[in-house]
Amino acid sequence: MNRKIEQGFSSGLDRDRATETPIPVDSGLSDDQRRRVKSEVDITGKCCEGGSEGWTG
Amino acid sequence: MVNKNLFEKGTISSSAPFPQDRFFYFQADGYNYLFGRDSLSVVRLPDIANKKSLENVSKLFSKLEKESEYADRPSLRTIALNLTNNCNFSCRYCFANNGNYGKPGLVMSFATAKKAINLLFAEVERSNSSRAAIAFFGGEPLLAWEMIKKVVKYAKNKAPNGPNVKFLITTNASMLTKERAFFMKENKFSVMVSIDGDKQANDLNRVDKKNQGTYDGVAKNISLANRIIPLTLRATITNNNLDLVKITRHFLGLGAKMITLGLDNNNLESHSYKKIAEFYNDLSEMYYHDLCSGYFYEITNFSQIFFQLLFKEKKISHCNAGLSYLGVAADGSMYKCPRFTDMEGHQFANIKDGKEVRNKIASFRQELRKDARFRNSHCRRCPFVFLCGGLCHYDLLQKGKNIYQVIPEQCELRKRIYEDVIKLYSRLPKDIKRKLFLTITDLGDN
Repeated sequence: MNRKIEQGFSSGLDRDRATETPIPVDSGLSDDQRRRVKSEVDITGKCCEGGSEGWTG
Repeated sequence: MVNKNLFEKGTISSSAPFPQDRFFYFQADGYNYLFGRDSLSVVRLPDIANKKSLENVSKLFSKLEKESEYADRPSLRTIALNLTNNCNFSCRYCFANNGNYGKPGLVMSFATAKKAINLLFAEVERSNSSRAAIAFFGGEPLLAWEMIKKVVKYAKNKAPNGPNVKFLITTNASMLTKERAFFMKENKFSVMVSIDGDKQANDLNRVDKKNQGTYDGVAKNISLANRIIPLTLRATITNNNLDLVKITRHFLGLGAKMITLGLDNNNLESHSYKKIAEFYNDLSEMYYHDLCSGYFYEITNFSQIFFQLLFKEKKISHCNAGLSYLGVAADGSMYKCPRFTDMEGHQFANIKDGKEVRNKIASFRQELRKDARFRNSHCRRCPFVFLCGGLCHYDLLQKGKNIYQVIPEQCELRKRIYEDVIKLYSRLPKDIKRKLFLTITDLGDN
């Protein structure tokens, strides 16, 4: 049976498949990859100093 | 129907408040999202809006908030050396009076450069940090090429077991030769070249001492050097050069993999900020399609915000000037950043006195940390306050404001940019984001 949600965050969904759970937007990185990216960004200074000049390491 | 009004009214229910000063609600690709100010996180909302799902959203944001942290670094990490007040260009928008900061001909001595580096390394080691960066600035720093070589040698010899030292340079590239590019590559420089787009756009403002356009020579050198070391191309956006998409496409055509777009805030008019916001939106769309079709490059204006979202780092200052970053004038006086050089009443410290530098940074940090988000009524109501960290202190002072105030048109543009970039981040498939993060940090593909 396809009962549509009348009031909710998404329209036109099948009620039986709709969720009540929010999902954080995924960066796609594993914990290890995130650590390595952080370390690299920290070393190169990307996104830290000199924003007005746009230095990014 | 999507029940957007639930958010626009400010609260959904007493158990799940999502006021607009703390949350940014948006829709993208048929989904509904919330960005949270205090967690610096984006969450895709549940399909169903009922009491239980709203409580779930609240709980998730509370959990994510605990993972966020302030991004202020513990001490000085980067100095920008104004090696020379000389420049061979006369760019019409130059904030430094054709590079001379009111003191034409002044050049930094090797003794001054050494003292500045000693101070930097001492501060980095004192804070148990592992990273230091030295930026070469001017005037045109390549006019002081021999000094650059001496400084690099000195810094590397001084830091074999100490901080990991990184070199940065901002140049007009008119004197960027093959030999110099190889030296920069060997010493792992980050090279930023100022060029404003195609020949027509560039030559409107970037002219030499004879008032002649500079594009041809610079573009030739970019093409030569970019084969040796990847360059970041930086455009200054002015009233007569606002098309960010056109500029970016041109830079990609020149072989750029890194692009930065800076604003000429001294001269931009109100209507230009509105146009820039529109072009940002177009650029964001173009970037989305390029990335999704496998064309990877970095627009630092976007990636800097991506990194903040990834690391959940709250800013208390937009660029850390006066905190982890200081400018050193040719005579050894220190400023929050090179833009303040020789501005009366704005000397921050002097390279002769490390203790003074330390104390000034500590007290400035305390001042900014006191209550970063309540600095004024605009910031208090802004869900992006921790992505932003406030406007450029130099720009504010130029407009007769103090560092805790805002310039409405700049503020409005920033908000629009954050909205666009958060949407872009949320829309990009996770595999694309993973590849982008790994590519722009040179970590390969896995």
